[in-house]
Amino acid sequence: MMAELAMFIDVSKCTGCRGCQVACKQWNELPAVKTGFSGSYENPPRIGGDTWTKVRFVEKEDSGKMRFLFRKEQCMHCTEASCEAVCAAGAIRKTDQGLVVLNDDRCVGCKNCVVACPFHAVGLSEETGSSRKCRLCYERIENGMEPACVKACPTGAVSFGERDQVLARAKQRVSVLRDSGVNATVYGENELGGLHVLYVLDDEPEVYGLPAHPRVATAGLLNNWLHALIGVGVVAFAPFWLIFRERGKAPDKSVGTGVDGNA
Amino acid sequence: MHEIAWPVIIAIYLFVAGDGVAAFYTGILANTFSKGKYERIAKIGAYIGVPLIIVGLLMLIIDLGRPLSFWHFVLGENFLPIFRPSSTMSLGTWLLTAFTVFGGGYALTWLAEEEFARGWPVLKYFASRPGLRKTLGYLALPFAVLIACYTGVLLASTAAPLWNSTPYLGLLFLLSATSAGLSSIILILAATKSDRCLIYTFSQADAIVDILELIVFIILMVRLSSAAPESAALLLNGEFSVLFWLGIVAFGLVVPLVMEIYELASSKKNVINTIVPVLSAVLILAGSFLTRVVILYAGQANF
Ligand code: SF4
Ligand code: SF4
Repeated sequence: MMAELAMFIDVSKCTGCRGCQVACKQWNELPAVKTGFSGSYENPPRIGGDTWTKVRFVEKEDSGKMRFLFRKEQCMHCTEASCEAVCAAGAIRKTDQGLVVLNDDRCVGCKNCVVACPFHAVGLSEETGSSRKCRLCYERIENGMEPACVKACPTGAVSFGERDQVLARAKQRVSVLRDSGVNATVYGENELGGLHVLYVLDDEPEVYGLPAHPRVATAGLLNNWLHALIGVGVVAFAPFWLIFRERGKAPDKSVGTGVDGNA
Repeated sequence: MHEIAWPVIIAIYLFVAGDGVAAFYTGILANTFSKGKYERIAKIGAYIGVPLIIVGLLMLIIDLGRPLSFWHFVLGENFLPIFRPSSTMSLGTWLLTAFTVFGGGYALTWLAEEEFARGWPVLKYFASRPGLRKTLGYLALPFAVLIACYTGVLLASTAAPLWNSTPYLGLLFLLSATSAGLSSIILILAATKSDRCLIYTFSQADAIVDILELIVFIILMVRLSSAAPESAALLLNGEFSVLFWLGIVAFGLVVPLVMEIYELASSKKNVINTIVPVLSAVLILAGSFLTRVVILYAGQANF
């Protein structure tokens, strides 16, 4: 069993240069997407099948002062990966190292993973008709290289390594930031069984567009079936049994023959 | 606002699949509970149900990014069947497959006895086989019922708060499908100038399901309002509120219910034509479809 890997994103060091975004497009040969001006320099507006990572821009007013916050977003490589759970085609697998990899050849483009991902990190590609997402450059890793985005980051905001070590570094960084009065936290340590992208955030997760308590998409499955099956019982009784049951009179026709015109 | 991953074609799929299987199980259940009094309804149910399921499957396939790879849903890398229990889509695909086989066979036992189909090659194996018909009907029944629930559960196993914040979506879709199935049968009965008493009976059943659906809708909205207030607001007073209140609640549930009750209350005294049950059936079908559309789009509007 190989050690689990993780990407480490320290938002306090990100300058929003979007070098990672470009590096990802280049290495993975992803097409450009047509976009319009959305009121911010954030572009494209969302992750999709042809844009696997992007920097999210957040403007936040803090006691009269405007803060510009940046967060590189991409697939989080969840341990409890909703995309993997819902995929009927078995196109998504989790590797021993904790990466969640989507096999393009198996994907039929049903978009179930797209609606199931709590981070909106996977999308349908116009180019291929399949869903695509970040795969943490697993082919580069296998060949002893870092993911393309990590290599491109000029400020050291994005790095990569064994998850245990990354987590230790993240916690260290949090205590440094806290000492200087920043409300810093680690995101991803325990969320969804542990993410393989760990963030150091200097504000609440929601400010950065992250769910505070992400849920795996299949969490409500049994409860939903339970209620539906109780409903089946109720409906079978009323109206079906109540209205259609034979109330003593013998049926006036033999069973199994053709059509009875009147009932 | 997020991009729409599942467009209206998926709403059509959820609607026709639910409506179809509900017509099917309505026929079988009515016929079983009445000890064979409603054979004709069972036949009508099969004639509605099986083609609708096939249309539904086509919709599902058309919406795929790669329609020609649809078989990846049932056959794995090694070409052996795959079933993934955690995937509602996978479960649904197998339910639909099983229903198509058993329900299809059941419908063939009826088709084989039609005048115009006499002498069709394969059909003769299905003719005059009451035992086979019964077996196929009962085999298809559980799959039909589960498919009606599945159409809602499918949406519930996602990240959209409007879909996953309550445990009632499967139940709601089951009830909505059942009233649509009953309404479809009412329309066929009316179109074939069937006995008014018969239409009356089905209208009565439809009214009961309608009431159950209203109750579940209320419970769902109350729960949603506390669990995911923003999603609830989309329906109650936001972007989708007109469609929700006017289309789904008023014209899809309350008006047909009032019409049915009015009609049932007065039917003993008057010789009425079937305009009221037909109109309420049409409204219920439209409301049931709109329920799928609105829930599908509102769910994707804020996730
Ligand atoms: S972030 Fe989304 S796409 Fe990535 S592993 Fe988790 S559920 Fe799957
Ligand atoms: S779109 Fe592809 S990867 Fe996503 S659930 Fe469907 S088949 Fe699986």
